[in-house]
Amino acid sequence: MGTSGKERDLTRREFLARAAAGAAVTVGAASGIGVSVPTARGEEAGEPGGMKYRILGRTGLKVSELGLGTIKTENPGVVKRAIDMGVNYFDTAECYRGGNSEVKLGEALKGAREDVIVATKWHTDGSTPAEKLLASLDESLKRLDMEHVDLIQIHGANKVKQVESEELWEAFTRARDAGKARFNGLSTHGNQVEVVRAAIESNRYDAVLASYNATIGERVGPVMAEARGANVGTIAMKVLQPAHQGKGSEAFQGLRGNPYQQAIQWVLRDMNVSTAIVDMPTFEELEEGVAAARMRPERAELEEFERAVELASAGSCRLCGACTGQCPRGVRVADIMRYDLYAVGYGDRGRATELYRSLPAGRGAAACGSCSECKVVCPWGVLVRSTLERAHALLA
Amino acid sequence: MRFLRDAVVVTSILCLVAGAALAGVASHLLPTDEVAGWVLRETPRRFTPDDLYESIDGNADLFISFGFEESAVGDYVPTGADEGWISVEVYDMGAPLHAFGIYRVEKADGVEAVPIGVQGYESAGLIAFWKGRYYVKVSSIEGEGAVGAPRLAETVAARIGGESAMPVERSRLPWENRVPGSERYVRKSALGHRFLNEVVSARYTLGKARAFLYIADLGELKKAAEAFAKLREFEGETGAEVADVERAGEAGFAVRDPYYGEMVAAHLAQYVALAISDEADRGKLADLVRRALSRLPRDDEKGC
Repeated sequence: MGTSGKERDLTRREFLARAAAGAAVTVGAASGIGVSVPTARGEEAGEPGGMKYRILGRTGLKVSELGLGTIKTENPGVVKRAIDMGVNYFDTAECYRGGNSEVKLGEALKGAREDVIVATKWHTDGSTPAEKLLASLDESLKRLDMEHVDLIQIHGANKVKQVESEELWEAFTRARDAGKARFNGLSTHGNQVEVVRAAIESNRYDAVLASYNATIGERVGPVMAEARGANVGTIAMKVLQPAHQGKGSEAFQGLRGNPYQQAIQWVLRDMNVSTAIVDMPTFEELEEGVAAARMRPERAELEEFERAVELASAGSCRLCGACTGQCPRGVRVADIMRYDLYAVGYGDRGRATELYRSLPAGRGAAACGSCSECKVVCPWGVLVRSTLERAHALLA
Repeated sequence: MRFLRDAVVVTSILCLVAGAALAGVASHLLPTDEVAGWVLRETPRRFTPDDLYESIDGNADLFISFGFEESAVGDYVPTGADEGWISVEVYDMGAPLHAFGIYRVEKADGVEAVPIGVQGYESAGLIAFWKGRYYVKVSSIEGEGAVGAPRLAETVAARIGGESAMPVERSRLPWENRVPGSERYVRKSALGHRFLNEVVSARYTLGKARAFLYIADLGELKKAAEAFAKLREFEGETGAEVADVERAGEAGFAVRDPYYGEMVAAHLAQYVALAISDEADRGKLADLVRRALSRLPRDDEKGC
């Protein structure tokens, strides 16, 4: 997480004082009584100004609105401080830091295991034998030095085949029966909508972890709502992406608040989200993140943020990958869109040219010349044909 | 027919070499000739900070934070066989210290180091090592790459030029009582503090107690003094009592940190040194910090 320029010079004490004051005003203004307002589902609960909690779907687990991702977070001090600040959801994976993420998290959670929820992951391509998955979980438990995790998830599911695997289901069932994993879920980066829908339809998943933020909210939001409607817990990741992407843009210059905090608040405004996980490797980032989760900004402020994100990414590819495989002539549309972004968006024409020229024969945009009409549809309204033509003219 | 087959082989090799040339420096380290019966299947894939996540997903941010510049990934298959697979990933981390840093992040403390490159380790289906500015990982399905994977790893290590030496920055850490192999490098935000960057650290045994020493090189005295002041302010805000420590650099303090236990910190020249322990007493930690400060190379002494 980062800090906006105007926040950067504040001391920690000043920042916290300001954040707390902001929270009091906005929460007070929204509810009239200075405490958070329970939703119709009664899911939001918490002390005034403190961390709030929601229910993780059918698991019934009460999870903090802000969870801690642990790819970069290894300092036990930060993890312990997070617990002190009310964070109770911790996400790790068997491969983060070569397994050391689990080791460090396990060390940091010593003495607090009963108070926290721990989620880890295993890899499957859909045909991985149950025995191998269970062995992976055993290794994770050994590294974590725990008897069980609360949630075991497929790592990076991007195919429906992975979601529906019988081998996987056997592994989930055996892990639960053995008391090694209380609930099961999946994480997904690619083909998210189809993967989450398949998980919902299978009725076998307790929770889903998906990329969700203001850049791709329109596409992913509805499926998060579907999951919530099916009582599947919903965990958001890649929450800060709009702030990372837009921070240098003109559209972000006029924002009143800290875009990193607003990115978190934008996700948490959606009550279909159970928790949002953010990697916060420093005390400062943790405090910013928790302060953001505690505040309930006015609707107008988030709308302003949403407009800035929209402006910053208007007409540009969001690298969602939805165009992958759409071209009937095999043009590598998603790759070329990315190279175009390197050249036009990031000003790195040299690298873009190099990458474009290394595409396999027949997969470049030269093949577009033989089509009268582009069959590729971008869910964000990017003009695919003209972008491909521009890329070819620039990079071929 | 034989001519035709040879022509295909030559063309394939030329394509792979040309592809590697296009793909960047890291790709040149991937062998294009057969190694122990394994051959490169296709042009190596190249990743940069912008698309590294496509290769290693959530770990990308971590690698980038350690200075990652580019990577090349080559898949090797057995000559003339349809099954089997070894993947070789070469990460250009920009500097030897960065390569050492990411290597130590991924190598678990209890795992024994093996002599490949400067240093490496092995775990199920994986050989990883660092040398020069590169961090290399060779993965295979257990059993399948039993011979090929070590040979590929050795071949890549041999193709990386330069000496097989540990980073010179390690010498900042006093050797006495230092636990061998416990040295680390943290490029950013050591101990969760944004202002503690460029840090080398190691574990120490002080009597029977376990302690950790961190030395941050902030590049100049002013920045070190600022970082030290921020650390002291942070500790003060926890409500713990902060006491001065004498004869420790320009200034030093001791505190009982709520998360790390006893802490002694001091700054001198461009450095901030701090020792923490939940077992050792302040006196021993202060001695460790003093020892560390007494041996640090100082920019203001250069050329004198």
